[in-house]
Amino acid sequence: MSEWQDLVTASLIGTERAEVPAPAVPGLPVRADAVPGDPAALLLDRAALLTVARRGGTLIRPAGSGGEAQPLPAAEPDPAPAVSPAAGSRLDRMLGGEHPDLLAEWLTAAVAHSRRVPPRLLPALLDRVRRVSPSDPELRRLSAEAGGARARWLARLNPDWTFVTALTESGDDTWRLGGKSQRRGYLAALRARDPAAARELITQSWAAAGPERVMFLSVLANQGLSLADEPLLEAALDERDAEVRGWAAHLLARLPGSALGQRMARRAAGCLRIDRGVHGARLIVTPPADCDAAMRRDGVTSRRGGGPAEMDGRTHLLHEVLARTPLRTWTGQFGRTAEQILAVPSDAWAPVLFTGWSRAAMAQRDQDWMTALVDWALAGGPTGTLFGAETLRQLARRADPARCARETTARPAAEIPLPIRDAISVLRFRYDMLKELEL
Amino acid sequence: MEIIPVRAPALAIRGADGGSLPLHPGAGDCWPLFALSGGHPVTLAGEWTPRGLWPLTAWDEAGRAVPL
Repeated sequence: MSEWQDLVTASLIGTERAEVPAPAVPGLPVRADAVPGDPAALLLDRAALLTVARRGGTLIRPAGSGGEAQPLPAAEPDPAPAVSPAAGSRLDRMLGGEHPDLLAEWLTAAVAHSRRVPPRLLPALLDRVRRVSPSDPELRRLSAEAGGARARWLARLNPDWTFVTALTESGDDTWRLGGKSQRRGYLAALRARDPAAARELITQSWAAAGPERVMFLSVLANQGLSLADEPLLEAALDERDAEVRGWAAHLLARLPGSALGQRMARRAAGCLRIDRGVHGARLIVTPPADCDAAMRRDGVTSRRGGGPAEMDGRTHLLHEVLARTPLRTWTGQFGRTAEQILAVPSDAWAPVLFTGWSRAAMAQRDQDWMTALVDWALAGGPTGTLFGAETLRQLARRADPARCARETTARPAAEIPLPIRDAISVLRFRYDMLKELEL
Repeated sequence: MEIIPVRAPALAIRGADGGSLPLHPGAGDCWPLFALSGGHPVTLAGEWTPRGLWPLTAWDEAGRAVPL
């Protein structure tokens, strides 16, 4: 830089009074001796030479010249292969903002097929997961697993991504001494490896856990929930902390075989019946009369909080009970499949039945019902209400896209309502996504 | 060229002979390049500028071009 300044200064003073400086150009000998000829031309020549030299590029610093580049430790090879190129480019698009809410499903499928995230996408993935993960610790675990050895290698270089190694390299000390998020990571990893051991650890730690009980239950919710967890959850229904009770009721409702499920089935059984009249079968609905203490213990809320505003009290109760009733209650009681039950006209009750059954189907991971409900909605079923549209949005993200209808034939393309168009696009996206991950 | 990206003392690429060339400061963290390399040699094309090398494209193990 100063060489350029020297030339500028000399040109401002004038070559009659100033000596023309001889700038050093790397790789060229310095010509300090007097050069015959016009000093002004010489100055311009040297300025031109220096300009070219500066535009030419940095020089390679040879080995042994000091301040040497420190080689990084090489990442260990990963036995698992990367996902297919199509799946990789879809992940790239998702990280760029296309259906980012399906990221967890992409990662889960990749982990299930023992495939790895392509290395080039790891930085964007880890950045995204770091930004959203306080609200979704499960995403951290999934990305660490799908990222494999290369993600662990990167995490050692960038302190922002330490969550990757924190999860995989934690020992028993983490559980005794770690902070809440580390303990959560440890428990979630244990749950993924050995659900029974995690349940045992929760049972042992329960009494002393205090506010961490909610965290315990959320770990149970993410993985491997089974009837073996029921005694723990049933006991938690009598906890003082309302949030713990809510979680326990929510998890028990996901297990169709639980005692809570049987209690709900008894409450629900009288609410619906099929009347075979002269004009064909009709679904007759009688909502529950009121919400007693036993129902509240099982997580039913009598107030409308969280429910749709347009429902009155009894309709809301029906919705709450339906959402927690094992779906096989209905197929058993009516002797019909989910599709056949949904085909029975239910008139004004259809929106409540749709949302209630949808919540039950999603909670119980019942693909038969989810498929039937999505097909019902796409064929013009009751998604007109705001709540119905939101329910369809969630169904489209959970139902098996290979089994559902992925188009609607009910009306001309221009008249398809937005929620249905959105559901179709999500189902198609997921269908392609899961296919690509199988390649 | 076949290089290994390095981080210390500054972001740079290192050739097989141990010679090194800084990465352009404006190119940012270059994390995708590091992720691709994993500390192993990687083929890289870039623009050799007065302030260092601006990485443009690298090739992954399968030989596919990855824009950086």
